[in-house]
Amino acid sequence: MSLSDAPPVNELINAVMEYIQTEVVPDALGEKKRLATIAYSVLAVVDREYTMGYKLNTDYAKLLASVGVTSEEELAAKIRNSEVDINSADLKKALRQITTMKLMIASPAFLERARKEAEAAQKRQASKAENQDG
Amino acid sequence: MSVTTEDIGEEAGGDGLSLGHLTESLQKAISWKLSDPGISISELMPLEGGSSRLTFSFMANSESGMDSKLVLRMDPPGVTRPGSLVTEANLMLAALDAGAPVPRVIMTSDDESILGAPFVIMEFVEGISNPRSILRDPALEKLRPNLAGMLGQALGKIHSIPLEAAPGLVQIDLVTQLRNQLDLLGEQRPVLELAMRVLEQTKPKTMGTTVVHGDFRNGNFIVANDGVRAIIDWELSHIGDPLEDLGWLCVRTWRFNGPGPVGGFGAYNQLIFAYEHASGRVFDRVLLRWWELACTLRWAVMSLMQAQAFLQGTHRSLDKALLGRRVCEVEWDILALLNSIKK
Repeated sequence: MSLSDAPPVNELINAVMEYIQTEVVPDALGEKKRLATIAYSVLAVVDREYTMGYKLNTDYAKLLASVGVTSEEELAAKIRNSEVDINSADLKKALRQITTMKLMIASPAFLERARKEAEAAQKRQASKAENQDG
Repeated sequence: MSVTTEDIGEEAGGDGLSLGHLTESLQKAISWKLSDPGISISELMPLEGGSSRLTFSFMANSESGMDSKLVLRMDPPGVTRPGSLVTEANLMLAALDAGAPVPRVIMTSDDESILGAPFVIMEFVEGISNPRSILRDPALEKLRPNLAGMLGQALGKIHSIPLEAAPGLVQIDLVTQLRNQLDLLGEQRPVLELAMRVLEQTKPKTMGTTVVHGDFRNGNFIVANDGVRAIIDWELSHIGDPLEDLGWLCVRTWRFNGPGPVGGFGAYNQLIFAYEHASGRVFDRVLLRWWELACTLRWAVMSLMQAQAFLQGTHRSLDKALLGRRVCEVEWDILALLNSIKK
């Protein structure tokens, strides 16, 4: 249920994104083109946050609870004050997942590239270990 | 090297930054410097760049037909940092003496009455500095495989500048600086705190105390197919550990999606071998990973500062707004690097 009439927010955002992509970027030059591309990226973040934000926020709260805190600020303070084991696998796993979720909204292209790189590095490592064993 | 209005004879600057006004002021300043009243200035135009300073290129034409293309770098009038550009200019001269590729400095002054703000004038260096072009331009095909090594050599020379030849530079311990900056920002982010703790606990012995360029990265060198023509943007130079410059060059952000860990174009070993050969400093490879982590944290902190400038309204720009949301990219890199640091 929503007070506002159609089109919904994400449709409005998409309409502006389409306008920037088809009407502004092709004719813009230099700095204006660069800024128009950034404007598109900013709206893409808004769009993804609108679409996925609610679900990811619920997962985020669960992840924080898994390391015994209710906020990132609290976790940061605990790390700083040596109240958590900074080598804990659970801590690193939670931080990796939180960062992944942030990237899903802010920068999915980066996430995809970084995951591929990490996989390739793991494969290299595995084949190196295999060669050493052999 | 530094000149004053008294030298030039009359006030030549102004508060406004109209190109016409600046051209006139430049003409007086250059005529004085070159002792040639027949100099005329033309084609003054702003150069693109992400620096906090204003940068222009222009032609200085003499009556005898000697034309020189020059670059003017100045503080924005009203937000000047006295001493800073003159320090930068003196450092560039010292770097040239040490054999590093840098643009030749023609003139510098802190006297705001000359051009309206402190400035440095230097020669224009032809070449390519756009990071994406450096990674992909077919005209640089011959250069790319050798670039990391050439930069290692250049760094060796920069780090050989005698400290007394670079007065005015501040000594910075990166870890202490990052701690202070994070506290000042009031940002409490677990990944950054984790990096901070690991860096504090594993801090290596210093590799020495040298001039550090401070922003030695893809985007701040001018190259051509035959080599590195100039290292530019000396604004963040300071005294510190020389490996900071190597670490900064390897930060993933400065690879611009290129495959090589060094600036997107080179391998760690190419940089390290050339640097060790040029500087005589030999170090454990793991040490570079420590500096890469420290420098990656530095970029996270710098991004947060820029995002804060947007949030506080001191610098409203789309770039700065988006940078705040992209800190998580840097945090991803930090988490990956944390696995490769010896505890």
